[in-house]
Amino acid sequence: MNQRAVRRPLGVAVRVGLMAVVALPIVFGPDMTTALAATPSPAPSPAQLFGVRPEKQGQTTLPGGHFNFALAADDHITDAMVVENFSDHSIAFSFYGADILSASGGGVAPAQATNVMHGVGAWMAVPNPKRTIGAHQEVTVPFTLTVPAGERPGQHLGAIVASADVGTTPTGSVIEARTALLVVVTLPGVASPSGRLGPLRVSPVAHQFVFGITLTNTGNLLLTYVGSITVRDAAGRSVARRSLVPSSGYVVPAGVILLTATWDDALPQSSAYTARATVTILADGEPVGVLTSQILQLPAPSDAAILIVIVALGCLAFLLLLLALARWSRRRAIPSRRLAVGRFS
Amino acid sequence: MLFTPHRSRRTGRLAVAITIGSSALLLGLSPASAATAGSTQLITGSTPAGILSVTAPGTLALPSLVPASSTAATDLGSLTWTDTLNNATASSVTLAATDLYFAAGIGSYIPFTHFTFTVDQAPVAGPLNSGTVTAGAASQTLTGADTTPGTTYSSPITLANGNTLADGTWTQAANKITVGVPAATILSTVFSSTIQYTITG
Repeated sequence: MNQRAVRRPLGVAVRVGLMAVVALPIVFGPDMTTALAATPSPAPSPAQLFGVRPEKQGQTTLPGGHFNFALAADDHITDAMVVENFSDHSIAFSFYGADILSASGGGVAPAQATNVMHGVGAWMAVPNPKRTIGAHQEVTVPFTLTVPAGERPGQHLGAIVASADVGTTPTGSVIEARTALLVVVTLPGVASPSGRLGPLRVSPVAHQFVFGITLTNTGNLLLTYVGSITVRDAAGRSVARRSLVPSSGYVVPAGVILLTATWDDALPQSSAYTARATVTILADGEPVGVLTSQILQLPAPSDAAILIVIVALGCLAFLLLLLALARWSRRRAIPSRRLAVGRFS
Repeated sequence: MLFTPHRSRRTGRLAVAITIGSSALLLGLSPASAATAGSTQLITGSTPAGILSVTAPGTLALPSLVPASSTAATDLGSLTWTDTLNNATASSVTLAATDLYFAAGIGSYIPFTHFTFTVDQAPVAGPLNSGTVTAGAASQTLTGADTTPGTTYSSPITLANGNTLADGTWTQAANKITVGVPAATILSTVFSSTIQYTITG
């Protein structure tokens, strides 16, 4: 074996080692890369471009602030939003009523202006939907809301939206900002706060268990929730309790939200662990029900985690073997080289 | 009741104070003149109306869009929002986008489903804020039915949620976007999109 032949396995070994080092953060889940990427944000900037508020803010006794309307079918109401331009230049706005959609990740957002509205957004009308507001000026944007006949009782959610293009990139892309004030319409009738949990699922990811469960609002009231996952051992003792996130958010009637929790403190030593989700649903901040999931048997952790450990140890052993082989070859090569030198001289 | 000289002096002082105070009120003395007289200064203040606002970064420069590769994660700029409505309503900050579009047809636009956002997990709160704001999931890819490419917005993703007690100003400065560029994307073309930030509360 010559020196070139020795160098090649060494190069391979180094490459394998490097690949193992690079692969470890990927294999062991996203939290390592997340930690690297997390950089502190700078201090908040006080600069604001524009903002909105209900016209009668602080002047009514409506519960939960504005806009909360208790209306019957065919009722009609007029209210208004104030839009302030804080900037040094005029801004062109669009105003519209919109349905509220559940956003991925637990938030809510108004539907787009071009969407076909089916709920409160369709009940609202803005007489002046486009206006330009001068620098440091404010305007009052009135809107009307008419409840159609035959609507089901309960709470219905919408929003009054102010939208403006606030920037353009060098390639012509547009940055748009929207502010949306929630409009909650309560129709008289039997209030039915209720929800349903989907099946509790778990994904063993390397050294942690990631739980997921959906909460569906099956009633007619706007819901909030508080939930957790409890892990128990074979004896029924609680060994871990994790809050479900996102921890704050609305679930609109017929809306669905995915709740998750992660258990990564310790790997269970057997497959005898079980998990169960408990979610308390709230309407107007008051608990109205407790939902529980099925009892989920946790999979043995050995499958994924131990395989990774075995592969990593195998790579290490291979690396050491190659190093030993290289050292042995070098020792053998030295006397033969001396012999060759002797021959030529 | 035992009437002592000490109690008598205190009652006398109280009577004098009441007389001086009522005279000041009757004569319409200003707080400033009261202060120069060494008495209590009356401080008044008023608060402006609350506000709901979102200040989106005005610019975004994507790196070169190279077919069959993903761009580097690109800063979206500093996003700031304010909720001082104090109305016991939870708030959400969300993002949606349209395709990077040049024209209809395969290769002429990059669907928003190829956009992945890295969400700043540590929103910075103003020093006098109240309530709690939680960042959305660290990595989110846009979804939605792209019925009219270039015009249709994606479904919204959550950048942050504020609870019902959240009042104040928050900033997310480390949000990033990565764009996966399909291999069939036509070359030497300028694509444009709309990035939309919304605060709902």
